[in-house]
Amino acid sequence: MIRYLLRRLLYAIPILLGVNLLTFCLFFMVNTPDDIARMHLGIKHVNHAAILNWEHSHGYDLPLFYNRHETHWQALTDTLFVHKSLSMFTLHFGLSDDGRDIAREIRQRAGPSLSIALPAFIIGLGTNISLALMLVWMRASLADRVGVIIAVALMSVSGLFYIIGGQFVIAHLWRWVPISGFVPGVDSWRFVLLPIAISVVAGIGNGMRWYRSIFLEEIGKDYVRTARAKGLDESRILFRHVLKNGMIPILTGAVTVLPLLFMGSLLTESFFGIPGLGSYVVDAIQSQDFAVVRAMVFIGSALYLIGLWLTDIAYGWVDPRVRLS
Amino acid sequence: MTIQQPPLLRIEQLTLATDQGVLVNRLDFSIRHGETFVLLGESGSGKSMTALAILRLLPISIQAIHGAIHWHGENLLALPESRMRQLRGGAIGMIFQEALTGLNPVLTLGEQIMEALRLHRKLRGQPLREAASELLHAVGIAEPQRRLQDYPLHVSGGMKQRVMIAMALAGNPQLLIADEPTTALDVTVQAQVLNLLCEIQRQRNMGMLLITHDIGVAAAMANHIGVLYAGELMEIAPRDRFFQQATHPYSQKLFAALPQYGQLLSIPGQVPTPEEKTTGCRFSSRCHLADDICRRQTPDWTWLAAGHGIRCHHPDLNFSVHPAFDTTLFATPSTATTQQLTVKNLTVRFPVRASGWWPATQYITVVDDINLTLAQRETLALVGESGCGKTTLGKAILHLVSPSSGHIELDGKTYDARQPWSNSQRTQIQMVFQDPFASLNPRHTIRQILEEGMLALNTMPNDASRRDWLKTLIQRIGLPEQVLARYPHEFSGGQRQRIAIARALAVKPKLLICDEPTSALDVSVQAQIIRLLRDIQQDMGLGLLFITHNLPLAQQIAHRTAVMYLGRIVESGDSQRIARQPAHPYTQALLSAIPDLSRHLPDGLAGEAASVLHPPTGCHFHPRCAHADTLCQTRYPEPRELPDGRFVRCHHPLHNS
Amino acid sequence: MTRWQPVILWTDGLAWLGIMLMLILLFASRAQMRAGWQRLWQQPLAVISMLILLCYGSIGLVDSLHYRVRLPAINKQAQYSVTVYSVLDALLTPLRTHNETSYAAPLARRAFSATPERGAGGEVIEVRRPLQLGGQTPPHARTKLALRGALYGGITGVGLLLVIVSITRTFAARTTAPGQHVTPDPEPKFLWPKFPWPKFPWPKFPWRSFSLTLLLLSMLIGSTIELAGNFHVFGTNEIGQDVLYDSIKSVRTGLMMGCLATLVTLPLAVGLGLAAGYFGGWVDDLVQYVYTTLNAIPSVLLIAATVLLMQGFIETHPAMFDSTASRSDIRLLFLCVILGMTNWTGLCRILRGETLKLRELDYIQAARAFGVPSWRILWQHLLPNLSHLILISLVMDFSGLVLAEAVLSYIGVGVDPGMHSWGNMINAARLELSREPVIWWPLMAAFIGMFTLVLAANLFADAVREAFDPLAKR
Repeated sequence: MIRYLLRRLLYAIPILLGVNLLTFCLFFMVNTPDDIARMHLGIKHVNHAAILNWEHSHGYDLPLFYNRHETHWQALTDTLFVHKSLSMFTLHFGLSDDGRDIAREIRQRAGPSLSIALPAFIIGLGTNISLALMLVWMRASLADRVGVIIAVALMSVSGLFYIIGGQFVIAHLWRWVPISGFVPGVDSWRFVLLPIAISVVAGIGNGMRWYRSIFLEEIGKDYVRTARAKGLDESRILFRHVLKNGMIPILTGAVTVLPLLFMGSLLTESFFGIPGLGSYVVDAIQSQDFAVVRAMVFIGSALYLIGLWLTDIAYGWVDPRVRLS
Repeated sequence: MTIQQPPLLRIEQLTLATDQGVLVNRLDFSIRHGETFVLLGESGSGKSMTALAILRLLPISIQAIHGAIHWHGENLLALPESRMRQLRGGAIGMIFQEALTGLNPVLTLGEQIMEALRLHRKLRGQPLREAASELLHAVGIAEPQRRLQDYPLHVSGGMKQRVMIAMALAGNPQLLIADEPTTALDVTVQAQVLNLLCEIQRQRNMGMLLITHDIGVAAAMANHIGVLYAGELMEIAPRDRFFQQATHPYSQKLFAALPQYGQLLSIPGQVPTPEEKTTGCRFSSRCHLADDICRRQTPDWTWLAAGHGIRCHHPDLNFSVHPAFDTTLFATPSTATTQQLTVKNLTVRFPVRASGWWPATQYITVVDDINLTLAQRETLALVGESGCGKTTLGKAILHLVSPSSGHIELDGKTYDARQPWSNSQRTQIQMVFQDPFASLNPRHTIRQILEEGMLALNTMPNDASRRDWLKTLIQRIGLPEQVLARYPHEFSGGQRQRIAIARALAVKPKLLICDEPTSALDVSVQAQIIRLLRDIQQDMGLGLLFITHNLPLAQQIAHRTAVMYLGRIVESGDSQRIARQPAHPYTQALLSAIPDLSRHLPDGLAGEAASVLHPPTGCHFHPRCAHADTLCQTRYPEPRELPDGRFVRCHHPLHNS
Repeated sequence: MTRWQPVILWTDGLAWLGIMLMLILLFASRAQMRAGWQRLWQQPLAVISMLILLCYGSIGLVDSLHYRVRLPAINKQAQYSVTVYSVLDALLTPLRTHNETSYAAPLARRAFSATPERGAGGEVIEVRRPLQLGGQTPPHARTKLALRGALYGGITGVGLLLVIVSITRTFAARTTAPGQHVTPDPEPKFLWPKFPWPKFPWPKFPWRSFSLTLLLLSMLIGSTIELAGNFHVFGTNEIGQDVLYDSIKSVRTGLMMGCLATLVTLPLAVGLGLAAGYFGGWVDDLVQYVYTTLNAIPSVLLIAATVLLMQGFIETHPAMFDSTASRSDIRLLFLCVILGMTNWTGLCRILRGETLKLRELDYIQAARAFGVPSWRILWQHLLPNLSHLILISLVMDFSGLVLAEAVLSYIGVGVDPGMHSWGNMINAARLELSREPVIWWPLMAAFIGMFTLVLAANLFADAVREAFDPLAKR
């Protein structure tokens, strides 16, 4: 088992390298440093010297993969690929275009992101599972049909409407909570309450329907019939047999996205003015700060791969079929 | 037998229907204390539905339930759900066919057994655990304490079925319902489970409702037998009377269709589906005695003796097996001597690899150093239990699975078995697969299916001649020409298997590999397919490699038989001799595990086949063999020829002379 | 010389091509999928949602026929306007041309905010000016117009229904063999006179739901048309444009996102998924590596990065695009391609897994025993047996893509800001909500337009899955 997990961890390295190379190609080869400089300086007053100056000040004045002016190893290491891309493996993300240290920024912003994403995730998981179990309890009845249609309707509403509508009604009209903003520490509860609630509500439609189908699949299996033949009542069958089996895909699926919670939610954070990683990304995109975007791509993929690895562990943990084979 | 005592369970006019049609129609029977009632029927006869109806576990699609099920003065169909739950797993226990999937994979065996004990015997704590391990002990599981902690994945198929039985016994039931409890198991394991059921029933004086499609199982277990056909009981009789004088035409034909009893009579047609609304006797469409009354009127019970009744309009007509029936079958001696196919030292190994780019470090040998010959017009049966590698061997000969070493000699030329096949080889050998539902592409018409080989191998480039050959083929397999434009889902299992045979024959091969062509089919249809193969073999001079798990069938149809165990052929030679005087202990065990019509319970073979992942050292069979000694534990026996021309791989063959 | 010149934008061409392709595929597989279609068209929800989707689809298609108007000739050289219109624009001319100065509430007669005006006595007073559209209409006309429109629409709907029924019946009579006629329902239902509904080709077609939906839809459309001629039904936006027009024009953008991205996804997912599953070995390893890598990158970031790059490309090569329409069109196309490229991994994984299973089935083995070449096994055996999965996955993804457009436009990496789209409408509405008094109608219009489309698509997807997936639970 340990060997298997180590192997899975090693498997992540070529993928992370692939991500690294792909983003490097996108950002430096499709779009040359000249283009970036031009975009930042404005197309109107382009001046070759100004471009070179900008590139130099931001460390973009190196060849892509091979430095002819250097010898030995430096010919390979003194390049954009090593400086700007491979360096991320050591968590050196460099400076953003407005001159701030990206790594520090990320450290500061992870907390606020997590303070919304984590509670929203946990409450959402609980809500969705309970609602799904309720529908499965009443399966094949009118209530189930109506429940499914409501779920479909809920998931047909764009996330933007949940945020805009919720913010408008609860914060703007009723003034229960502040419209937006954030303070560090315990006092932040007033600010994170609404974003969390909205994230949970926005996820109900999808989650409830998905979990319902998982439980329904389990309930059709042979072991459920065996359990019925033992004389167990419906609630025992549902909570002991079906839930335990259904939780395997649900929990492992949840573990997959767990690390990604650090990344926060793009929309919620930028609408509610939370200084998290989600709004960091949105700001970076809107100000076309490629250095930040690259760093976030790297972190995002690394977190995703950690999630995949955790899934392997989780499978081993909850499923005896994997744990003991 | 005390007739006065009221029966344990009495089913009265039970009718089950969906909106599509009637599944079970006006069923009447009863089960007494300490007695086994066997409900015998083919697939689609409604026997499982009847069992589920007793426990009220029917699927939602069954919308109409009529009649009554009497149990200790109560009607089960009218009980409130809470009372019903007390009975389920309590006074009435049930075991299902699907032992492999019937246990919850994420709960330990102990938890699943204790759940029932807690519910029905109100046990807690230490007594609960003791009762659970007692139950496991009672169903013959060694080291019950340790097993309680195991998960279902740890135990073999036969063991799972034992655990299911233990669970059903948890509530000290008065009635045990067993729905095809051994169908998914190998014969040697089936015998163990049947013995266990019988013993438990005697000890506890339970009533038992056993549902099966296998007359042999019925003969071994029954006190009373009811024959179910298309949702209706045809005949009901005490066991001995049934096997001496079964009277209903359907019962008699069932006997005649069995390979064990020498005739393999085919019953024409198929079981009517519930959607087909027939009037009159449900069997009339397939009965050679049927006349106008049979087709118009549903027959009522005629009682021939105490407890022996049939539903037939002609109880007095003395039915005898088809008059013009030839019993020779495949017994025609092989005329050809030319070896069409010779397989030499064929070995198939699969790598066991964990994932991705890791090189394989471990191999499992599925087919190990096999030698075979097959002549024209000859039938060679390859017999073995599941997992012995017989199907892989068949596929490896055709290079559908790549062998790791070996040679194949075909039509005088020798090929390296590892090389992919040329088209000329492919026209010579073809294959018929096991599952007729998976072997025809559901998106292709019958014409496309039959033409595929001819087009790919270009055996018949001319359009007109191809069309003629298709017509000939489709008539040869007994289907009308119009079916060419239809899709496979419109056909029954037996018809599909005919089409699959026609597909293989389309390129006019000289040899045909049949991989369990009848194991997915009902007894009455099985005979049709066997006879078709026989006729085709005689017409076209085919050599047949017949892969099967059914030793009596092999004995019936094959000139020679080869018995496989864990990847190797342990005994091969003349079918009749092998059947009469098995030389290898395994062959003998296979033979004695098959339930026959005498009263005796079949002999179980201890243990279950080891996995090919970890084959035992020495002779693979030694852990299960009564004659094994230290030699057997250390060295795999080389093949030796017996005086009668058989080959056997055993250090201590049972018949040396 | 005609008065106009057709213009085929990239997305137009691809959309029509896609429709054609889809029809051909549906026709080619009609016999194999018959059972599935039959199960699909017996579900009332499928029929209702399909009708709604058809409405959206026809708006999108009419909006995908573009042309330019001829200007007065200079030196006998034909000159064409640089502005590209679509046939839909021509149909909606009154909505497009009746621009107000600023906001107007739905169905209002006067402007939303007052403007200073010199009164009769010369003093400055705040006046809410009457609107161009609606200002002259009598105050009580709204109900009358709505009812009249509903009546006209209803009549048209009944006519349409009769035409459809009679066409189907004639078709059925010609193609059904004499013995095959299904006997009509013997019990007449209360309030539902026994009507000889056609039973072919789908015997259980829910005609009642169909006709009711058709009737309601045509009444709704009828009264909207009637009202829109005299009022701004959804009001106007900040620069005085009709919000209804904006919303209707957004339909095409949403549909294009859903359809074109799919068109990109399909060959990638099907080709790679089948190859990986069937050939196994290093092909499988490679495909798995590629999709795990792509999956690892957070999709929003990947899309944003690529869109930003593409934006830079368009800005630095302005000469390649001759009009604003074609520039925003190319941006839409790129966006669809990018979405497609990031979206194929899901379907690819499903198809790979399913191919792995099918590959072991006996009919594939039988084909291999005949030496049928691999490409033919893939094409004739595997693809037809996976087609239901592809269909299900496509309709399920569609709504997600429509929703994605709004989010991406909000972040600033969506369609061109000048293009009509729900995302852009929502983006603008954000600030309007914090105004006092609140401007709520543009947001509502976008909400209704989008919600109806996505809901219909989701319901339809559900129905398709139930009909085509043999394992779907009821």
